[in-house]
Amino acid sequence: MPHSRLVVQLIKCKKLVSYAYGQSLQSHYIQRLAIGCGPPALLLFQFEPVYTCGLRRSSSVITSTDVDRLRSLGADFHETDRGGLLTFHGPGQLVAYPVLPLQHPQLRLALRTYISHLEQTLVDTCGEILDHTRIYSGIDNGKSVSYAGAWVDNQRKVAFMGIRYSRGITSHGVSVNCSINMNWFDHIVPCGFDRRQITSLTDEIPDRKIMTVEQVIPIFIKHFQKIFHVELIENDCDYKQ
Amino acid sequence: MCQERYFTKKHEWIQLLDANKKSIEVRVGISDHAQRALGDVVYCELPSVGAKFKRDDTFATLESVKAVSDCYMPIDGEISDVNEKLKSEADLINKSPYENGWLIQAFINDKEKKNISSTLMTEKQYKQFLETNKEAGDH
Repeated sequence: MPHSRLVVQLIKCKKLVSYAYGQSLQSHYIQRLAIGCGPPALLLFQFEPVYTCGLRRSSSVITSTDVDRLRSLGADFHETDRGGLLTFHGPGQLVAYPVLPLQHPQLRLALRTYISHLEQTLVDTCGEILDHTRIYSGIDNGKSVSYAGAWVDNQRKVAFMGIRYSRGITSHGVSVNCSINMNWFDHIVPCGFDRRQITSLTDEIPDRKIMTVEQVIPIFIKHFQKIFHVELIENDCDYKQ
Repeated sequence: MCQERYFTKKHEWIQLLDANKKSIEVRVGISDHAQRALGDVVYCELPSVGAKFKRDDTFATLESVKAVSDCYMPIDGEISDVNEKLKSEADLINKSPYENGWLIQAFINDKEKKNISSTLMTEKQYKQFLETNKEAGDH
């Protein structure tokens, strides 16, 4: 019997924000949800250029020399507690953080089901934009965890995932390369992959049409609502750091 | 030899080890239900020997497919040993959650030893708990 839909607040940050601001905003929602005085939320951002690494940050993943080098390119660098390896966030890339209480009676999702739904959201979103027959889900295709996300022609990754789950609440999330400057990815081994295996929606559209974050957002929201069976209600981004 | 296991609502298990030493030692891991819910574990961050935790503190983090999640202490204890094999074979947690995939060992006091059977679930109670708390993905 389907349960009534959980109401999730949709927060779209209208301008470019720093990664630090994004983490503060996320913490704000997590804390209020955890103590029961705030709603679940879906936060949408575009970040100022930043490289991030996940929980696995040994010297085989990244060294302090690497960090200095990346910073010298004009990007920020942050360590995070999410899953996944090294990646880049910047203008032209949609970043989405679902802050959801997986054990809530109106959700009741195991972590791996949540991951699977999130990946499906990415696949359906990119499929609607490019062509469903060209988009493949990473988890079904690859045995390695780095494959999670959405793949074009099963060769190039266009959407990425890195999640944290703590005390019943999800944080961090997904990113979709829309019209991002792909040169930023030249300087790292993104998600542990060869640079040629990373792409953007704009680079995959045959007639060189540009696909912006603003155009992708409504499509992403539509699929997210459907797959997670939640109701997204938009609210202003009123949090001040 | 092997004493019975007790379980938490967050799907950790705890087992008293051979009680012929002066100190009381337990072993902790995650349940079979938990490892299936997580998916393939690729990385495991364990605490240092000597670290002290209270019940419900995060003592370890596990990374499975693209997600990092926490493990919570079933009772107060001081870490006496960690499963070094997990450094290179984190998926032992999936393959053998109750045996080779154990996470930590800890020294506990007498009061905590009594708390195990009075505050945690037996295997039978845990099975019933799972039945009545099915998650959407389980159906």
